[in-house]
Amino acid sequence: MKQKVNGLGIFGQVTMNNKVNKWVEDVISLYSEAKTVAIVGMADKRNIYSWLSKHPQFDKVTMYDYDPQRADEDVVTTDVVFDIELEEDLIINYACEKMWPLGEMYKNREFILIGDDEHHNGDCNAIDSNKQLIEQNCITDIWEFNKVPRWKGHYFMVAGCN
Amino acid sequence: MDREKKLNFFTFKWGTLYGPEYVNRLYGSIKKYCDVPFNFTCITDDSTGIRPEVLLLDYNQIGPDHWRAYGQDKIFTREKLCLFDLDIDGTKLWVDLDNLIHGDITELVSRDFEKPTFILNHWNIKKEHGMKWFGKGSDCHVNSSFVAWQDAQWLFDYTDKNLEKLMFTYKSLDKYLYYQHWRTYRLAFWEEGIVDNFNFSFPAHTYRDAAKMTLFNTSHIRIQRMGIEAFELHETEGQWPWDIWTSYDE
Repeated sequence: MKQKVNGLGIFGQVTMNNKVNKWVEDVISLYSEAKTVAIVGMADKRNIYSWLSKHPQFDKVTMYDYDPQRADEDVVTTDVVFDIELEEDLIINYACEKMWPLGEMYKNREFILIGDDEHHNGDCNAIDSNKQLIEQNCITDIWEFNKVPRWKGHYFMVAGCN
Repeated sequence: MDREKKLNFFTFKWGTLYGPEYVNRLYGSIKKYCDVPFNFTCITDDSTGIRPEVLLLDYNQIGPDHWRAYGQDKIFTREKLCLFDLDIDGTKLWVDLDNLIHGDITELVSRDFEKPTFILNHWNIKKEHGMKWFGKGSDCHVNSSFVAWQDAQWLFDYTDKNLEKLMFTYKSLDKYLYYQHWRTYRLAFWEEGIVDNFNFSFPAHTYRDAAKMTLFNTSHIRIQRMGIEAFELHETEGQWPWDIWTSYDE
């Protein structure tokens, strides 16, 4: 019985990730004028990276993750808040709940911001609304926003510029 | 403070969780197990009952005002890092009150410290899936209960420069050190076996001859309801730590 529940959980998670990724692809296609893209905190998700890497609009797409267990030839293992300065035109942050708002650090950029409200141990910035994402990241030009259910809460998602 | 002595121990006692006996016995343990002349300073908000050999600093005066403006839920025990900003020659160490020293530490404290040297939680990091939750931000294998350094001004400066972001990101000092400085190889660690953990090591609650000191931290066990039988030092009456700890009254 337990295995069945776990199986459903994984299936549900994949479905939710697909919804998030579809939304990300849609807003990029509709609004982004970027040439370079930073993908932050993508964990084991690679769909958006694959899609962007093949997209003729983008010259360079880079994934960043501070977890050495995620190290890969396509991933820069670094903390984008404390270690380096991002230079990309578009910053996609899949883990807003885990870090200082990147829009506070980087101005005149395009952002796709995704965070959840599950308040896990290790979340310093649980995201409880899209308004929070907009305000924290100083987003002045809002392209779109969305809210997708996840296991115990929601993904909040905002796309725009600051 | 006797500036001729090139070995300076510090400990912190604030609030009411631990009484003065913790300070006095910690001093007694170092007196017994350290053959090098030393200063021992307690940074406290209440010096009542602390033995006269212990030097005192006012807890409410330690560190910059803008550090003290943050609540205790932000980098808890960050006060320790202010010690890196003190202008004192020689080797400096801080020792947590609930650290029971029961072996000779003369060689340990007489080393040269190229990097500030902390405890690595060897008893946890090698477990299967020991780093499973690193990416989630909930891992932590650094412990700051016994720390030695000679010059590590950079650690105070880094913290001060990034204070707002660090306070936002980390609830505890150990987590900050783990995620920012363990990850980037800026810290050194005592060798495995020097420090034991009464509640976490396997088997738990066991005396180990090779260990120089034993930790008694219980907060994670109790907060996370881990279902482990855990004891603070003052709760060990009838077990081996109690006789050692109370012997330091003499």
